[in-house]
Amino acid sequence: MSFPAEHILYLSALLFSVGLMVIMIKQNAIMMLLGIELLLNAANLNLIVFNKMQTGLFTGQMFTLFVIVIAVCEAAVGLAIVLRVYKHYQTSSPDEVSELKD
Amino acid sequence: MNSSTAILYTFEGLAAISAVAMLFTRNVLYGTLLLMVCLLAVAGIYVLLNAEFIAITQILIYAGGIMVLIVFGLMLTTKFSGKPL
Repeated sequence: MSFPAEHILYLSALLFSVGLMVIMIKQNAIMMLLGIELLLNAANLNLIVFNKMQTGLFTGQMFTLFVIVIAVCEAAVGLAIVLRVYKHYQTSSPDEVSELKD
Repeated sequence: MNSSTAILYTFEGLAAISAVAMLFTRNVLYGTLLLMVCLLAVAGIYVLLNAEFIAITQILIYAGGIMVLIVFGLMLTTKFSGKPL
């Protein structure tokens, strides 16, 4: 290992678990989107750390770019869904949107 | 411990503290701003890991695009004092 970076891997695991807790616990749809962004950032951090450990290649950085692009697209679509659900049900809590048809 | 390790620990602590604070807050706007702080700290860690392009991309796209979009969506879907906006 060319760079002692275990503590950054611990940070990545902590961010991943915090993001998962945010998705499971919070009662607001916007907070769920924030938890998803935190999950993806934890995975990106892991990729960059392992890219640093592997000298000469930048495969991890290219994969991180792909993950960032996918996160942007999915956040935009998720936000559109949240706005539509709010316009129809007048609430932004996923607990109260429990029926699929009107 | 030289200065780059100290800066790395600072950014790591900032990211961890802001993420845990985002978990425990009850206000959604505070959660959004805390997540923005966390993403900027992670971008700082990227710079120290020799991934400057990913750090700039992260600041531009995440902290400059996605968080602003989420604040827009938040302002459109929140009832303040009982009345919708």
